[in-house]
Amino acid sequence: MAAEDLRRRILFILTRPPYGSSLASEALDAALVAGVFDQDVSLLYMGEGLFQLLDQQHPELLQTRNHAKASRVLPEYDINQVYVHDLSMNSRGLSPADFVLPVEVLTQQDIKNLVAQQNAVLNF
Amino acid sequence: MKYALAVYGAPYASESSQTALHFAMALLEKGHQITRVFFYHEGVYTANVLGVSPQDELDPLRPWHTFAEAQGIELVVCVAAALKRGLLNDVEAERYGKSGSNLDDKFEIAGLGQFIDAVISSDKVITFGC
Repeated sequence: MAAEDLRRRILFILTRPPYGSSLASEALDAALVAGVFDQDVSLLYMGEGLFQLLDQQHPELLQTRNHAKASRVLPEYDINQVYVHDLSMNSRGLSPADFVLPVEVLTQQDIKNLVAQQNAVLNF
Repeated sequence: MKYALAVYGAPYASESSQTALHFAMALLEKGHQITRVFFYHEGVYTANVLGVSPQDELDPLRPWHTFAEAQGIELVVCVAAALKRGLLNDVEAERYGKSGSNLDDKFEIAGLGQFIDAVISSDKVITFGC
């Protein structure tokens, strides 16, 4: 949709848990639209945001949409740069095997570099 | 520089919308441009004309309305976020058979594409969270 010279590097930083607020869900919607616009989209999960990626979510108990299932479509939108913050992951006793998507684990220094490469950073 | 702003916080519950407005005013004072202000998540409530503020409290909508009118700034609420929360203009109220509309006339309803378009066509994006 966008011309090549309008292709931007856009990083979504996701820090909220998948339920309890609709922000995680609405952030994912925005990321998918950025994918539709053929932008160079990356997602970075930090803090409670890591729970968005957990497999075995059972939101049917809350009668709400399954965030894990919604997240699984990201590769179909050409969004394959999915990062998690190492300290957030370790402190929650999680590992990449717990997640519904392949992720790259980043240190704080890596994150600093990632952010520096972006045209825009959208915090959710 | 060209800036896009995104507002996620609801008025009263959050200072996000008010801070975004002050930032927007400062941008223009410093000679910058604003491509679009996109209201998303709880931020869409900013555009509700049915709010009645106590006399000693700031009205969250009126300053945005005046600002948009005076400066020609584009204010957009996300259609999906707005409809879910009961923020409707006349067109949407008619479409969904609702008895009334409540969206301020300085705000347009549009899709998330308008958010991403603003991000793409601006030098900087500032998000005002919740």
